[in-house]
Amino acid sequence: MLVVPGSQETVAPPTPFAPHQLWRIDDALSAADRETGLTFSVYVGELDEPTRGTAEALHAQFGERTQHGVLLAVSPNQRVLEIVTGARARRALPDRVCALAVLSMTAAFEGGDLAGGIVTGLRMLADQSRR
Amino acid sequence: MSVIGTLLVFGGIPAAVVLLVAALVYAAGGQGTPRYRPGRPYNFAPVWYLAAAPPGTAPESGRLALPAGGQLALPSSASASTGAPNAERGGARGTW
Repeated sequence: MLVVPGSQETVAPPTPFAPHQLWRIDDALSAADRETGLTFSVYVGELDEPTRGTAEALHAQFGERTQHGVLLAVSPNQRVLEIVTGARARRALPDRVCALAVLSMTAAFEGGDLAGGIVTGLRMLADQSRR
Repeated sequence: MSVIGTLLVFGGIPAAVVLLVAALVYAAGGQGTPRYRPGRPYNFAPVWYLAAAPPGTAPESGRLALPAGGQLALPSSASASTGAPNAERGGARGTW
């Protein structure tokens, strides 16, 4: 099960993902966490300008897991993708690896495949990380 | 073949097939879930996902959790510089 903000409500909030896509994202998130020991998180929604600063502020909300946190922030309206890694996570996932994941994710987003791009990015980051 | 017969075979049957396919498309595909298409406005509430806790884990076992409820407040970018002590964040950025 995914931790979805608003999932407590009886009426499911409209999400851009179909149930089977949510399942795939959850699967990829859990696998990435398990394989790397880092904490992966995916945000999909509007990012205030400057988008980098907003993504870093979201990343700061990881609390004590900030150092190990990896945030994938996607803003479909602004067509922006930000990957933010904490200090420890950066050692396992150098910026070069993140840039490679960004390339394949944006390629999928360009084709309209939000869920597919997110899953691809998570898998690439998990595969490339050095523990 | 008479003129009417020719019209029926070469005009009526293709028209019937076209109408049948159109009816099937609009009957089945109309109520699909809304999805993202590049260039079209994206009108969904922001979502933020974490991996689920492994089964059998207590809810408050020190795992990272996100605030529940629809009020996902985006922090301002100014709080990033003051909020966390580490400025050694990395990552990458891309547009499409």
